[in-house]
Amino acid sequence: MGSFRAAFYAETEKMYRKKKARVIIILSVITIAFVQLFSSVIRSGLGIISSTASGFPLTVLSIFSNTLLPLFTTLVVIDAFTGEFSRNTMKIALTRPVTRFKVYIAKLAAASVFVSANLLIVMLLAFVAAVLFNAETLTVAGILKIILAYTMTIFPIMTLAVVIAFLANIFKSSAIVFFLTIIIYLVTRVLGFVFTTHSSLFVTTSIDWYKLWIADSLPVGNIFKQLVYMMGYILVFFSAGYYIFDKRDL
Amino acid sequence: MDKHTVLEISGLTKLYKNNRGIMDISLDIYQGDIFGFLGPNGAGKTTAMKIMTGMMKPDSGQVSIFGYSISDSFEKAMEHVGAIIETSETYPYLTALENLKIISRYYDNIDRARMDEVLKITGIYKYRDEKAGNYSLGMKQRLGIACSILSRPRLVILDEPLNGLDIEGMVEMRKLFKRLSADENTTFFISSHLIHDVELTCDRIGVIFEGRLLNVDTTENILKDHASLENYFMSEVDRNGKL
Repeated sequence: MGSFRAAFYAETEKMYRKKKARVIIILSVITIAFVQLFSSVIRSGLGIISSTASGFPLTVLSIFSNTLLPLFTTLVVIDAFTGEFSRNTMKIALTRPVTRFKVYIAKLAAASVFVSANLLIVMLLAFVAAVLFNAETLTVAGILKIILAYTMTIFPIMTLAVVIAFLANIFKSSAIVFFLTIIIYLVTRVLGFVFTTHSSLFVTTSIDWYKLWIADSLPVGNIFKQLVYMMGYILVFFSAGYYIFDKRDL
Repeated sequence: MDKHTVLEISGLTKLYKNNRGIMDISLDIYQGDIFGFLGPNGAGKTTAMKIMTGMMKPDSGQVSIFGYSISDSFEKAMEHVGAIIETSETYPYLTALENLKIISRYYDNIDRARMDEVLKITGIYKYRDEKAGNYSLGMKQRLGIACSILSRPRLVILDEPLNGLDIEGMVEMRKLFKRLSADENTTFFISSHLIHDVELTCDRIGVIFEGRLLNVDTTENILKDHASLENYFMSEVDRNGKL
């Protein structure tokens, strides 16, 4: 456990020390500002009531979780695997007293910290924006719903991260993994719209999992079904990804 | 395994697709040795060292460090090992001190004083807050050596550790290895293709050529029978019918 903790702290520290982490925070802030600006224009300019204070953070989440968050997660996971292999820095961790299994889990755990932190920052900023512009409609139930929605988004994004980690261990070029991930993401997104009855099979469909949790009547069956699909993806792609990671010669 | 044996290699074989690699290498390294692994470029030194540190899996053979198999008990085997393999790598976006801090997480009882100590020993203390990405090749090599000795390892495995160092740096590092061996009984396994370096640094020498370990002897014995290490190396290669 001690060696896992060491690897986890080291991976997390490496992640937030990079310039990329700062750029991601700035882009997150810009997204919120953009959504708020767009929302304000609609509200005042066209005389339409666009969103309540509770609705604004959910609008932000809907945009963020389907666009920037998967993109940022892809960059972070690729950097942790393909990036380290291509820069030869992977051997710094792999020649320490820690098994490859623990390093692999530590990298994914660090990615989950990144995803959680990113969602937390976006949620807090969206809250602040909502309160500043539309405080009178904010309710306790609304706040709890927002927290639940943001929390539940961690799971599908991490499922996606496990799939990306698998790809990042197959290919030696970060660019190839990045473009392949983008293509797979877009294709499965489109397939999800085309084959609506089987859309749950695609990992990208799970990104909207949080919507089930905040529905007026909780669809337990659907939530469980999505959870099983996500667990399936994690088991298959984690095992395959780790197998390649473990067998790889440096 | 003898009680003083810290590294035991038996029947190590790894062949690449081009049929190069290492074949049936067996070797014991004893506590306090400064062992020189001497061979030309492409002889198989780095391949052997990668397998010794778990970076590569052998086709056959075993490596045990302090009695622990590198394949079955990796954490235990690597607990008291420091290594530079192939090239000295550091995180370029971190300073020297931050690099050491990251590495210190894997070991117990490494405090700031120890980090400062290894930075001073390797001569890069005044550059400790500069990003490693801005370091010269020699400074990176010094930082790599600092990282490898940070945890006070009982075995240090160094692949061409003097690469990129100027003459002053080479002399300093040689002195450092000898001092750690004498004062702390640290065992060194050092590979090099530079015969003069090996002769000046190491007290036991193994010659590897075309993937095979030709002979192992003490530097003292070798120099008794041969005018120089270079002379010994050529005679070993010749004796084994390789020339």
